Amino acid sequence: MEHKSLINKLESLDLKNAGNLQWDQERTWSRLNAQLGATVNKKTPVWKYMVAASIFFLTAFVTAYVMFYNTNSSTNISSHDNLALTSLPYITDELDVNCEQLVQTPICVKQESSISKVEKEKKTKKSTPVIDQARAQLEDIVIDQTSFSQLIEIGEIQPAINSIAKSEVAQIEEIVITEQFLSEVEHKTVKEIPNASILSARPISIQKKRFSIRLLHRKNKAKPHNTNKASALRLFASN
Amino acid sequence: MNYSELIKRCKKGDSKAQKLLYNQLATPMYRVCIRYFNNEFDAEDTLISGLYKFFQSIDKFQYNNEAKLYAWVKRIIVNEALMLIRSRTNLNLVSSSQADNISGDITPLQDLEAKDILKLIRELPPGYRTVFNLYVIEGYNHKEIGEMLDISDNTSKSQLHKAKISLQKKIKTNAQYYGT
Repeated sequence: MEHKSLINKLESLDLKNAGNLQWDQERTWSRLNAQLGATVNKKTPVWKYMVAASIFFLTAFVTAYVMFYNTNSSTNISSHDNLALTSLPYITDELDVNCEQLVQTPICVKQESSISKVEKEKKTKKSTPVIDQARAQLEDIVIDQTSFSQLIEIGEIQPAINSIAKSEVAQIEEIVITEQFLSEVEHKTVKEIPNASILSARPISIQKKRFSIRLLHRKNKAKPHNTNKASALRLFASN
Repeated sequence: MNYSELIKRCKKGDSKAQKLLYNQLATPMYRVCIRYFNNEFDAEDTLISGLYKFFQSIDKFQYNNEAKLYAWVKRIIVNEALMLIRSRTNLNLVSSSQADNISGDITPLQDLEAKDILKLIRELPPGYRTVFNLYVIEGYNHKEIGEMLDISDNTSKSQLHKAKISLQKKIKTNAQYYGT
């Protein structure tokens, strides 16, 4: 009851309208107006939004155009690679005869990229009939010492040519190749390839060099290892 | 100019309309603020921050009548006051399961004026004063107060009870001081 009496009395006193109101209303407005004005000034002008939006859409358009252009370009390259793969039998036949011409022609460069592509396809297990056919043809490549020498010559590795000329090997059973070659072309480590060891990690020659070494490796891989018949050839690819 | 027109102009950022609306709202809202603090500086800061939020969010407000406008602004002001109280003081709102009994009569209350009562309310500890203001003067129930202060209903009831006891003691003391 006392509580209710207190509450009733408080309500009757109209406390909502009571209190000391000796305050500077204009000063309070000045402070409030300053805050409101600062907020208004902080607002970014509309033209800045328009410029930002224009830049955004222009960037998006350019990006989309570049992506579209790249997609078309890669499509052309793929079709070109397929064309190179279909030309492989011709290249294989001519390999023993005139390797120099083959390598110097642009299609040989394409063949190297095609081989890389075949290896990549093998890793990703996305084989197509065309690629499988080209791979089978590559496995059948047999190259003799003369062809090897010619390929090395094309690769501009004179010390290798000299070594081959002095030796009497019937077959090449050990190939010294660079680690860079293995990683970039074969996608393997040295330990994974028999008869291979590292001579130098320095980059040697150009794509031609990789091409010749690859063929030799295919030949060795096809035949069993026989150290009695042939001595080892070390290819010093120092430069 | 009526409130509806003022609010429309305020939504467009008209500074003169803001000043006119401020003139209408400042005094009643300052009365709200001053009940929650025992000094004028905090009350003024609360008024400014509350009205600033009001003008910033006025686009969301749809004017129907004057009462709704005042209720909306008052709610903002009260929230600002509670935020300031929480940031500066520990309300120390502890629930008490057994409320103390009020002893003595309340005769002196009848001899005091509203301004004296308000002065005594402002002398209450922040926790008591806040709950007392919200319940007795603003008219919120204990559930609403619990949500606003993040406390339980029982804690709100307990705080209100203690506030009443404390206020009554102050009224008695004050009455004796004035010789009633």
